Amino acid sequence: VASLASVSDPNRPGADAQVAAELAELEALAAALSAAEVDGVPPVQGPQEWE
Amino acid sequence: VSAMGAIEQRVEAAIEATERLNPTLNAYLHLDLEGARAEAAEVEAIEVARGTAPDPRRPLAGMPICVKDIVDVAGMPTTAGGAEWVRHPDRDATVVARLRAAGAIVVGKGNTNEFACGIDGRNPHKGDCRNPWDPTRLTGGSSSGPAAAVAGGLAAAAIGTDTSGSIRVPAALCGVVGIRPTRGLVPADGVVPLAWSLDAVGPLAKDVAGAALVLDLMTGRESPPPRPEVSGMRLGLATELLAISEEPVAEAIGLAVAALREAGAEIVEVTLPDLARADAIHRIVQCCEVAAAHASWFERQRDLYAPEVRARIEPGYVLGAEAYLRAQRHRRLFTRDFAAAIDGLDALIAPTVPVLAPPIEAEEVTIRGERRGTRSALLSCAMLFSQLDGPAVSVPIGLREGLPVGLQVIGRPYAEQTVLRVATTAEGAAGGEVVDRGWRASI
Repeated sequence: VASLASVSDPNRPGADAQVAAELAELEALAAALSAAEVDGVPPVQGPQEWE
Repeated sequence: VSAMGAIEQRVEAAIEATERLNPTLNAYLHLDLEGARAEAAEVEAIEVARGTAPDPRRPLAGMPICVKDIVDVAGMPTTAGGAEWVRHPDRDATVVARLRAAGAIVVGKGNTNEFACGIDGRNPHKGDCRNPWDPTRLTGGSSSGPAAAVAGGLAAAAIGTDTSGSIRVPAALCGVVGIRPTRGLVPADGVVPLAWSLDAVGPLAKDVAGAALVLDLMTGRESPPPRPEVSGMRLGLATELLAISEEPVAEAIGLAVAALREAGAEIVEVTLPDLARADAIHRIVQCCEVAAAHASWFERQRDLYAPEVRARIEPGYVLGAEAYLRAQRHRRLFTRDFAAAIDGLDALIAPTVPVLAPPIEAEEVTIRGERRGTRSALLSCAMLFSQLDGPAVSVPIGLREGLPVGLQVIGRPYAEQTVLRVATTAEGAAGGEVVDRGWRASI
């Protein structure tokens, strides 16, 4: 069975860096979602959105 | 074997395939072969006692199934593919109980990306799952074991889950049918959650008819078998997703489109709403919801997660409610825009995955001369449709370079019958003997 030796050690250097990089990317994506554009729009609730 | 009835023989065939192939494929993380044999004998005895007429309440009598290891099966451990995480359920998840009541027999628990949080079918804790068409290739994930088990004949059908594409992507790469049903249609109790507003439980099977039957039993509804009838339908073709697919995939999809047109469907080119925004919404929503689902475990097992999985969870504790709700509000706009884009159409068709199954070690793939991360490529045609809450099915249409190509059919909420009619019309339309109708032929 194949392994992921290069990434399987959760304590290897870089794990925290991966978290930080992902967080930075998501924060940038979140900032790019305009608050004004969804003014008055409720959050999605489920399949009934289509009704 | 000669003294066995048809049901026992069917289960024994899956057990034989499992003993022979599972050491290579790693499709199952936990097996109960003796339990499966005993159940098969029991089901056989019930059927023999009934006489020749099959029990209409047990249409899956003797169907060997694989259950993704985030779904509870009484008496088997649920590990969710995690490093040390385990629970020992004393009752079946509702979806398992429904299939067992219909006569299905659980062979074992299928491999999965760690906590279903991944799309490639790799698992550093339990071992990677391997593609039956070529064991040096990825299966896709996270329902990697279910897809590999069905493709390799280690099960006739399987229970998977799909948050970002986790049924459809492995189904496409392994050449089986995978249905992401309308969200909420199949009960999710007894299933380890990933992201509540995106998770869907659904079937994988060798062909559309088999998958549709299993879906009916999962939902408790009864539907007529899907027929290859698309005459008069108007189908949208997501040309942007075709344009980002590698040549063999696009060529096969083109043949499936031609087959649908020949069967009487009108094909209309569709421009999808802002794909980059859809990607952002999905990632933010999923990260926050996964963080919430893992909150009670996270501190305890923070250092046990693979780093890339931890990186998909931990930011959710920082992003906060405002970012989450804003993303969910944009999701509502995206849903509206998508509904407008397919107004007047019966369904949308697209590639499920833009590439043939990549090599297991590939961190990047090259599509039309451009390099792209494997994870991003595998998600690129499937993830956006998870936000819409309607059904999406991947159907194998043919082989290219010895590997399967999947066509995706996307519909409005509760339009399962429509997407399955389209899927069964396109099944195998691009050639290469990808569709194995073995189970269908036996029922």
